[in-house]
Amino acid sequence: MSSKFNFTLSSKVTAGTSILFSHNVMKAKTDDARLDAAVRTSPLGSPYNEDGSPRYLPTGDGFSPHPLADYEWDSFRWDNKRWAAYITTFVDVKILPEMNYRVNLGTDIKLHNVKSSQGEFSYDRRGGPPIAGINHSVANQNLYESILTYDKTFNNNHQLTVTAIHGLQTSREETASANVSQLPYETSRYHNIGSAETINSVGSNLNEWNLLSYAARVFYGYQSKYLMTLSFRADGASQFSPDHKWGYFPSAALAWNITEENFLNNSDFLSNLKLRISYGVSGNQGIAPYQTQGSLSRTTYAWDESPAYGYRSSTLANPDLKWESTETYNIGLDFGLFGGRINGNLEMYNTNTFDLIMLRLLPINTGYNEVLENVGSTNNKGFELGLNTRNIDKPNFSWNSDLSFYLNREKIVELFNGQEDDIGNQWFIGHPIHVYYDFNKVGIWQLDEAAEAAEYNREPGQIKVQDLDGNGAVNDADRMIIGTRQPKFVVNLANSFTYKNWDLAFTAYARWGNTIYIGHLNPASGKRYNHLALDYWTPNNPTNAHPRPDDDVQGSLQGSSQAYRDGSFIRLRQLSLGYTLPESFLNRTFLTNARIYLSGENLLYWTKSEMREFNMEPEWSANAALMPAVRTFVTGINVSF
Amino acid sequence: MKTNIFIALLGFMTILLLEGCTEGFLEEENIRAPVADQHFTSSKGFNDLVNSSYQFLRSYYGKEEGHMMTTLGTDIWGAGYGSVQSFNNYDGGMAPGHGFYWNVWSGFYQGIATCNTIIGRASEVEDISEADLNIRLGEAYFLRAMYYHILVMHWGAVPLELEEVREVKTTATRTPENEVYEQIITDLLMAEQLLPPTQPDYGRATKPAAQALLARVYLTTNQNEEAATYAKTVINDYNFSLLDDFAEIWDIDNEQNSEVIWAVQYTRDERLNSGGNRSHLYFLMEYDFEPGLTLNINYGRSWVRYFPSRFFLNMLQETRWKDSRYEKVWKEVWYANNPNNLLPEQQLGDTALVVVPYSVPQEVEDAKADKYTIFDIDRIYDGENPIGKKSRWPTLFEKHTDPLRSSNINIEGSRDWFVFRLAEMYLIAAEALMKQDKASEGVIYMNTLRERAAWPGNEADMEITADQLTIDFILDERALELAGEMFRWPDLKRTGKLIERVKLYNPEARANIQETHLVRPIPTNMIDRITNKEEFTQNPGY
Repeated sequence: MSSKFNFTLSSKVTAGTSILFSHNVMKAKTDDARLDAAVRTSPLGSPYNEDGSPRYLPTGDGFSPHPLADYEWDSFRWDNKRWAAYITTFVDVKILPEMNYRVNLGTDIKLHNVKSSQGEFSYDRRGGPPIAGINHSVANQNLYESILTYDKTFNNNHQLTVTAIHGLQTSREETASANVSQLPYETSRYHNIGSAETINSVGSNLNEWNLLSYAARVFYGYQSKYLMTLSFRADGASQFSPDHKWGYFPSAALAWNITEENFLNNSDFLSNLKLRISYGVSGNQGIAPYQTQGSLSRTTYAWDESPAYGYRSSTLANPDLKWESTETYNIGLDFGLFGGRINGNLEMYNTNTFDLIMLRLLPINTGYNEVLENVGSTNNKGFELGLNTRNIDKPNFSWNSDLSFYLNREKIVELFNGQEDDIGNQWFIGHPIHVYYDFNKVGIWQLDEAAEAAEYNREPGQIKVQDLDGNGAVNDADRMIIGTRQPKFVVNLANSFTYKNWDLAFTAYARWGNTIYIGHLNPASGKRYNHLALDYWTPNNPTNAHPRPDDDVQGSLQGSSQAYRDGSFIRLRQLSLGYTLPESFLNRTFLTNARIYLSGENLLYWTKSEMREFNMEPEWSANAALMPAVRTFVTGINVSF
Repeated sequence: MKTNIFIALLGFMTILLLEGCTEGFLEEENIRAPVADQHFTSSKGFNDLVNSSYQFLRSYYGKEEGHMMTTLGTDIWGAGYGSVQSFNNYDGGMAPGHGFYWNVWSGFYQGIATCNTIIGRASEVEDISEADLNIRLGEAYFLRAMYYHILVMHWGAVPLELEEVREVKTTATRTPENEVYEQIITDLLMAEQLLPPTQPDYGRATKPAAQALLARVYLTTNQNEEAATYAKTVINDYNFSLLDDFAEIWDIDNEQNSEVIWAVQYTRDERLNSGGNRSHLYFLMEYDFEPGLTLNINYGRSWVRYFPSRFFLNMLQETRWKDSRYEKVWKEVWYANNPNNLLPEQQLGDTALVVVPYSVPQEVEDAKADKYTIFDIDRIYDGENPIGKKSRWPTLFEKHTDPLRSSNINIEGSRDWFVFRLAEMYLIAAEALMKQDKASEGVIYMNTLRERAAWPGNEADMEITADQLTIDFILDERALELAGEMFRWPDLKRTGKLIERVKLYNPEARANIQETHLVRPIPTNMIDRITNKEEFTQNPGY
């Protein structure tokens, strides 16, 4: 819900407020654990009895309850509510005709309440006593901005805008939670957690940070042809230690509206052409508060049955932590051709990030596992193209296309040790920040290689990995960079057609060249769970795909090496076909407009790996889970009257 | 115009006002948790720091990590199908990347760092009595020795860190094994001086705990005179005593019994039990797939990890007539608890499953087929090789079972982990005396322990003579007494018998075990993160 009020108090003073309320309730948990459970449930059991009633343990195995137990026994509640209010007010005063002063005040309040309960016959409890929990958080951000603007055009040709900004931002987040088990009345769900016999955890927390900003900006434009913006800002963030609170960020941008030039005026061919060049530095203070102080963490122990809580240093203080900054060089071109039939933009950028803030893993003999540090610098180069075309534009037939293309290359330029790789953190000079670093599977040891396999302490049927250091043994020196999550490019193409009363649209999407880790291609052995039907090795099936299953072990040696794949895929995300009823027909009804449509999502897709074969959802940002690729059909009627 | 000036003034005043407010606006105060330099100088904070040094004991004792590293690959245990087989087989899966090594290593180095902070900052504590300060310091010296002893036992030369690290450090140096042992002994002698005989908080380190560890460490370093002296001190100078009934040691309602010298604390209060004692999961066979049976809390959850070897089952079977220890803590019979899959002639509460380390005649098995299931030794073992899936065996039960958990799916048990119990001191005394050619004195300690274990009336049958007291006899005795208490692998390594006994009694490990397996692989995460990789090298063979 939103409302907006503006008041004109006098010819010089305007004030206004805008209020945005939202309330959001979610009752169904959307994690994929249940789907995963359904896939993993042994096919040897039966989730339903002959009379159709559900069986809690389909196979009798106490660890594999009915995947839909939460629903069949109504034993699960999840109630996730959010309330948010975003209120801004401003006062704008025209001090002089060309000078303007504005104050913005804003507050953003977020309440979040999650309650959950799981009964005895829920999927997670596996017949254990019921549990319930309540988590509550209140987050409040306040914003104050004071903006003084001088804006004047001289001689109709020179436009000058000077802006000075002073801003304050405060943030405060409080959380509280309680989790209990052994509720005497399961039906009380989470509405009487005080009745529980056991309190599993009680907690609360507070996070506060402040940001103080000063900024100045000068804009100069000549005849809307040549545009220039210079700006400088200084930001102080409370999260950093006293000597490093401030970051300083300049930027400059030039634009040339080429179509405003006389020699291109009224060109039929070129309707718009604008060249933009910019350089800017931006900062990142996006770290949780208190991290430079090396605060202590609570530990738990007991003397007999009495609490023996403790405090120890768990994160190393880093008073040298400073702002991460990113400088960006950007060249952009906006263009319109043939009277707007073709519109597009082209961006090329080169960005350097310095003092990258990351958690860096430390040798544990220091007692510390990690430290938040400015670990090094990275470089990103990229290219973006957006193209919007009206290919055919006839009264009875039209065809529009929208194409976007994106590619980015990220690499680490320098680390704290200069040009040396940091294997512990899996950061490698010249490679993206997130890479997969592992053994390189070259096949499966075959029967006729038994003697050689034995030298590597392996047997036929086990995974054969590359002996990178050639020392005749499998050891940690045999790991290499397998790939990165970063795609080589991403392309999206949308097309829409209309023919008389018919309309047809589709969207196709491709992501190319990223490496993906598919955990289900590295199954744990054992019969408890169902697995993908992989091409596994047996003496009679000397495949090089997957190792010999072994009921003994919980996973294959170097098992993860069999689960990396090229994650490239192309997918028809959406296809829709519609028919708008002709006016001649509508005139005889009370309707003013009516459209019947049929649309389908994910009708077709293709993956470079075998994900398609297993009907797996291919689109993941990191590791792939075993979600089926859902195909959705919708049919409907839009009417207005 | 007047209004404009007024409003402009108002605006600038607002700026000035806010500017005034920004004094201290960027200062950060963390009120929810203290900062080391402030907190640890108070006695309260210092006590908190000492408390926190104990929790890392829970990353080893009563955990799969500790069990796996002390149980598998020995003469008396093999791997059930739920185990990581490589830890038993000494094959290629016994690799530096295995998480278990890292969990112990990283937990203990964090524990050591906490002890270093205690020791280093002790002089800065403002409001604490010298007596209290000394006791807390003693605890830190004891725990640091404890952590280093386990590290050096498994990994050989390890980094010896003795001071709090206050800024980023990315190097590590492996200190020779003997120097680590010297430091352990130095710390323990200090702890012995500082610690009191008992502590009001049950579970804190005590003087006898330090002396018991000294006895254990001296036995390892072959300083047998000192080992015997300290073992005898613990036996004689305190109120500890052997319980008459071996079963009572494991009574979960009587954990603080007179045989316990020092125990890692686990508790029924789940808030205090994060990462509980999980030992109840590991030794149990897979009973719940047999007719008439399903999982319940009294029988526990079976993670089918540790399979008694044929050698061990034979030993137990041969001695059970006179030695009560097998029948008092092992389980051979389960009773029907599942109405849904009973055998034709079986009812709830009837015998459902019998698993025994001896042969049962076929006609008996056939006759009982409709009543209950029998796994006799011939269904478990073919010679020394396990048959089938490696999931059925007589189960070491009473030492670990935990029916006090809030439910059977809760794996966090509340049983204290006995790190030192008096029986071990008798065994150390016997062994240390024997190694000093004082077997006639050593045998007294051995016989005292064995007589306690005897069935009433069989005490004389359990007695041995001084010339029977050999290292092999002691190892067998330690198997009977200490099975499942995280002693076996260290005992075999300490006595130089690991390779010999594994080759004799562990068919799956026999072909693979070598000298290099006397130390574990340094965890991958340790080596990957250091910058002096050319100096800090992996143990050979990994």
